[in-house]
Amino acid sequence: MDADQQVRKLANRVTKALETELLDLVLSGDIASFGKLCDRYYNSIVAIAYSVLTDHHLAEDAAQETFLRALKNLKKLKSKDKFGSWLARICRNVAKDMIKKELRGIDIENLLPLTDGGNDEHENQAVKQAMGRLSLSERELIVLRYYNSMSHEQMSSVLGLSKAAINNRLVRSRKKIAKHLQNNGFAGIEL
Amino acid sequence: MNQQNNKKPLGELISRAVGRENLKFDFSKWKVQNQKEIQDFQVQIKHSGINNPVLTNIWRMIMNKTMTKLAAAAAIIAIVVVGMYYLGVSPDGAGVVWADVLRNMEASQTVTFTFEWEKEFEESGYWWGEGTILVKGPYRRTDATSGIRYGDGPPHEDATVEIMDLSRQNRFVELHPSQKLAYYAPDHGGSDTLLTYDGLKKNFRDGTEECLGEVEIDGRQAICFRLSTDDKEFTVWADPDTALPIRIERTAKEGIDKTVLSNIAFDVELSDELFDMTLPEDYCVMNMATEEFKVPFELTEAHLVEELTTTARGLGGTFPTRFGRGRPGEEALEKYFAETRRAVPVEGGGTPMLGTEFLKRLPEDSDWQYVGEDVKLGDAKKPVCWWKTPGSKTYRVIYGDLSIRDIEPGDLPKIPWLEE
Repeated sequence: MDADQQVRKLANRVTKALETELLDLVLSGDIASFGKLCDRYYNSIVAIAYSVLTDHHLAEDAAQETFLRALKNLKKLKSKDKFGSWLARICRNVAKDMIKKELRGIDIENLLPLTDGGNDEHENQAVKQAMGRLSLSERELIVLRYYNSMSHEQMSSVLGLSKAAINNRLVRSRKKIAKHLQNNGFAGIEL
Repeated sequence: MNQQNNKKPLGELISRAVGRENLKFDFSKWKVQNQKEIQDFQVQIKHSGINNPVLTNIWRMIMNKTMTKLAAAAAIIAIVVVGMYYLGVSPDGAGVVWADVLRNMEASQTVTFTFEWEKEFEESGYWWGEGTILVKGPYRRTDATSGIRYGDGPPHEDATVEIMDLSRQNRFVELHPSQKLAYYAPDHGGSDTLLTYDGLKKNFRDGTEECLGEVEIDGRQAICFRLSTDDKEFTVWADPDTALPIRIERTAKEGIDKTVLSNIAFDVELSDELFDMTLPEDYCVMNMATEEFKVPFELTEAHLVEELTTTARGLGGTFPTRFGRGRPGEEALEKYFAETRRAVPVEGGGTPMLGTEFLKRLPEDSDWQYVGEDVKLGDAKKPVCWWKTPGSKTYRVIYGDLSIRDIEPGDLPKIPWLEE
C-alpha cells in the first residue's frame, strides 16, 4: 500500500468516526443527523435494492423503507462502525420482502432499462442477460460499482468486505460478463 | 447479433445498462411521510436513558495522525529488496538477465539495506526520510527517521522502529522512543512499510523490463535494468558477477515520489534479538486491535492540559470545536471534522492521547463538559472545559491560559448553547 492509499485509509477512519458521532447524535434524538447518514448511504442502498428488484423506482422505495426500519431498530445496532453493512442487510431483506409481497416474477433481463439506438440496445440487452446470470452477490457488487460510480471505499463500507476482496470479486464478475458478451458476438470488449 | 467493430470498455457498457446519476434522497419528504414513526423513535429515546454522545475516538485518531503519516511515509518504500542467493551466472556478467535477478530474489532469506525517500501527498504535504530495513525469513524490521511538513508549516521529524512477524499473522510493533510510545497488534497488524517486501516482488514480476546494458554506478560496473508498471518506474543496477542488485531507484510516473535503496547486502547474519517484539515496560502501549491504551503511570489533569495545549498549537493557537464533547449539532460536527484535516503535528508535544485517556477514565458522574470552541490559547478569561472530581462539590475549570480554578457549580461560566 502506498502513501496515497494510506491517506485514503486515514480519511476512511475519519469518515467512520464521523458516522459514529452522527449515530450518537441520532441516539440522543437528533433526527437531522439521521438525515445526514441517509444522504451518505442513499446511493449504495438504492443500488443494493436495485440488484434484487431490478427496477429503479422500486429500488428507491426500498431504500426509504430501509431507512425507516433502520431508525426503528437503531438501538439494536451493536457495532456503530458497521452501520453501512448493517443497513445493507436491512435493505436486502426489505427488497426480498417486496418481491414476496408483490409476488413479482422479476426477471432482471426484462427489467433492466433500455436505451435508444440500435447497437446500444443490443449491447444493453446483452449486458442485462450477462448480469442475470451472475449470483445475487456478484450482481450486487457490479451494480454498486456501476450504478453511480461508487468507489471501492464506499463499497467496502456497505458490504463489510475488504477492498482486496471486492476487487477480486469484481474482476471475477466482470470476466463472466465479458465472456457472455463475447459468446454472444460482441468482440472487442475491454476488461 | 452483430459484431462490434470498435473496442469498448466493459465498465462503460455496464454503466450505460444500469447506471444512474445524481440520485438524491429527499429527507424532508421522508420525514413528513414517516412523522409518526419518527415521533415514536424520539419518545423511545427519551425514555431509554440514551442521552448525550459518548466520547469518541476521533481525537485519538487525530493524535495518531502523526504516527499514521510517518508510518505511511515509510510505506512509500515500495522498493524493498529481497535477499538474494547467487544462483550462478556467467563470470563476465554478459549472461545476467532479469530472470536471474528475479530468481535470486525469490530464493533470498536475508537482506539489509539503507533507503531514502521523498514524496508529495494530498495538496501540500511533503514526506521525506531515511533508514534501514532488515529482512530475515518472515521477520521485517525498519529503523527510520521520517519527516513531514504541510504547506509552509514547520517540519516535524520522528524516529520509529517497526518490527513485524509474518509467520504470526502479521504480529506488529511500532516504537516511538522519543515519546516512549508503542503501537502493538497481536495479529493482523499493519506496517505497510514492512509488507512492501512482497509488494516489490510483485512489482518486479508484473513490470515490463528492459536491459540497458553495462554502466558505471558508484564507481563500479553494473548491469542496468529499467522496469515499468502502470504508475511507477524502477531502475535496478545489478552486480554482473552475482546478479544481485546493488542499487534500486523507484520513481512515480506522476508527481514527486522517489525512493532510493543502497548499501544492499545479502545473506548477512541477523540476530533474532533484532526482531524481538517485547514491549519496553516504561512505554505507553496502544493495542491497535482493541484501542486499549496501557499507561505505566497514573494519569492526571496535567496530561489533559498537555494534550489540550498540543491540540491548540496544532490548530494554530485555537482550541478545537470539540474534545470528547462540545457544542452539539451537525454544523459543529462538520467544523470539527474540518479541523481534524488541518491539524498539524506539533514538535515536542509529549506522548499523545494521555489527556484523552484521562478524560475517558473520569467517573460517569464527573459531569465533563468541553466549551473550548474558538478559545485562544492564552486567554485567561474564557473557559475551555470543566469536570468534577469524586467527592468534590466544586468543579475544576481549565481556562484558555491553561490555569485551573475550583469553581462552585452556581458560578460555572455561562455558555449560550449550554443554556439552550
